[in-house]
Amino acid sequence: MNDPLLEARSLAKAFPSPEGPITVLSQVDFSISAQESVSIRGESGAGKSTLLYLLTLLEAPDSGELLWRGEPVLNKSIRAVNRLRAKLLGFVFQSFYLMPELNALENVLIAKRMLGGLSSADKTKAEGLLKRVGLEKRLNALPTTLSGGERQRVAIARALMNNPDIIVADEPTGNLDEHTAEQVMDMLLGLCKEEGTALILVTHNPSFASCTNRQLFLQHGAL
Amino acid sequence: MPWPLYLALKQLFPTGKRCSFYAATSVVGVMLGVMVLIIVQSVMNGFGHEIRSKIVDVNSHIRIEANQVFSGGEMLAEQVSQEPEVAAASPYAQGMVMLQYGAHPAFPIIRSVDTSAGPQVLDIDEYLMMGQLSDLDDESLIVSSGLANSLGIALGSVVDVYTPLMLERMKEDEILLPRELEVVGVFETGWNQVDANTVLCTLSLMQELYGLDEGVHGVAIRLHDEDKVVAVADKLNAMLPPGVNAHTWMELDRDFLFILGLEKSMMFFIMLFILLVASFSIASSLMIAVLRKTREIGLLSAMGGTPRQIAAAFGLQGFIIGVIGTTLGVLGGLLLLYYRNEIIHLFARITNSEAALLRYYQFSNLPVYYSWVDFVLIISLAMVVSTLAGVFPAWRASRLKPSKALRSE
Repeated sequence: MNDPLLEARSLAKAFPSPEGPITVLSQVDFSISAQESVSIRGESGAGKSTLLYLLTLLEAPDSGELLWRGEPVLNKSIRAVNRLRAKLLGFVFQSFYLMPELNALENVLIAKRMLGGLSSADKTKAEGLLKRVGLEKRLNALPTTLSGGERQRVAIARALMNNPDIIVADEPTGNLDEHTAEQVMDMLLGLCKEEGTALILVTHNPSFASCTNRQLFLQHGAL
Repeated sequence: MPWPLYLALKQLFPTGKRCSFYAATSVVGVMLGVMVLIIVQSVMNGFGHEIRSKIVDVNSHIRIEANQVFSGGEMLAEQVSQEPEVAAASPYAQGMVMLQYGAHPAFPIIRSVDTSAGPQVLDIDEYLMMGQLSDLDDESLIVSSGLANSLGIALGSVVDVYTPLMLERMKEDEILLPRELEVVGVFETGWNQVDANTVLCTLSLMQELYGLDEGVHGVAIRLHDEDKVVAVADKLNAMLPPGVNAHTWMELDRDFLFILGLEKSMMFFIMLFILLVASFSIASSLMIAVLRKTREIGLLSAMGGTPRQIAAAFGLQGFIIGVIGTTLGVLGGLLLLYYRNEIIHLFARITNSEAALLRYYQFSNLPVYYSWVDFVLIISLAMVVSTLAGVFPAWRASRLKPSKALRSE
């Protein structure tokens, strides 16, 4: 078996409240290897999104250990973590989060811009990604003129732009109708497979979860 | 191009649009502020410059004065003229008289002028509307335009002049007989303070009217280079006897110059509020943008953006607005100043006030003086104010925790 790309050991997180700290996650162990797909399900408020934020270090855990590509990251500087995250991870969120001032192509290219310089090859690659998600005729369309499904496809292309090792998808079909959700999910799973990218999928939908290699269920703060 | 700058530019000038409404209003705000400041300051400078040059033209660069009437004025003027920086020097006397023409009395300032053929301290010929300086002798006067108008004096008019000396003699039961003098010229300098109430005569007539014998009130000096006025005054003071001092025109008109400077500063301060209002508009618009884009800011963090880069993406917008607004403001200001006279004449024609403009302001063209110090000050202020307007929203954006930003509704 491959070495894990991302590994979490005994992650714990509690949030303060007037009645005392509320433990959301306790002693969570998680790992994902290259080209693997893992789904995480759980009831609303179970802490699925919190777990994703801890795994991607968008939020710091209270305790535990986190390794990216076998390297501990909790003690690294914000700058180093940010740079590593941009190379290692691609994000797809429920609400797409496209920049309204940028067209579809520019939204995909922003991921590359943030990592460093931009070349003509990058533009070709972004156009290719948009073509693969079926938006070759909507390259210059602004997000406001795109449907929900189209916006999420732009977000998927953006997530893949930097050739990340892992795509982290937080309820990527939560804002889409059933038919569009299936299309987008098929596209996401297919692209991850083609690109050899690992996938961490947080979803409520059991049928989408069943399409991944491994299905986990988050309950009472543990997987 | 660094991505924060790219994103800042894109937020101001989004794809598919020339510019965002927020960018347009913010740029116009800064532009108007800069434009008004440049126009007001340049016109105030123009007026100031004009008035200063009038003061110098009419009052000379340096005056040597004593606490009392002193003799040897001609000799002192001759001695001072030897200095290489001095273009002309002449003794003078001045005071107040009562002037009567028909039944109309007036109390003008009377000043002696040099009528010799050599270099003149005061270039009266330049300001003469009627008559000639060469016609001035001990039996004649040149009057200012305001005085001529108020008393109805014309060339050739004979006026009666009473002096304080005559009043002294009246106390000794002497019969008071005025001195009859012919008006041989009318002058106008454009400086109302002088034009309203001044009479010019020869030094010998002034000495006679005031009973000065050979005495004078001072020596007026004109320099080749106005910028050396302080240095020359210091040099003269070092060689003058005790009790006799050289004063620059800036010292003699200190109060007037102070008010002139104060007026300019006040105008600058008032007009500065336009820039401050514009900066608040930038700050509030950027703040709204930060709140509206909270989740996008979270995404930028997730994609590798550091707090400093995210702050730059918002803070740079204030700077860019400042650069564009200031550039347009400077260009707009210069353009309006270039066509200022056409604009004023058009306005005067529309409001039918051309005559009033000439009568009260004594100019047909608006004076303008471009001061690079003012330009640097205005541009720097506009840039600082616009950039500062983006600092707080940028700070707020950088303080957002990615997880909280992504969760925000």
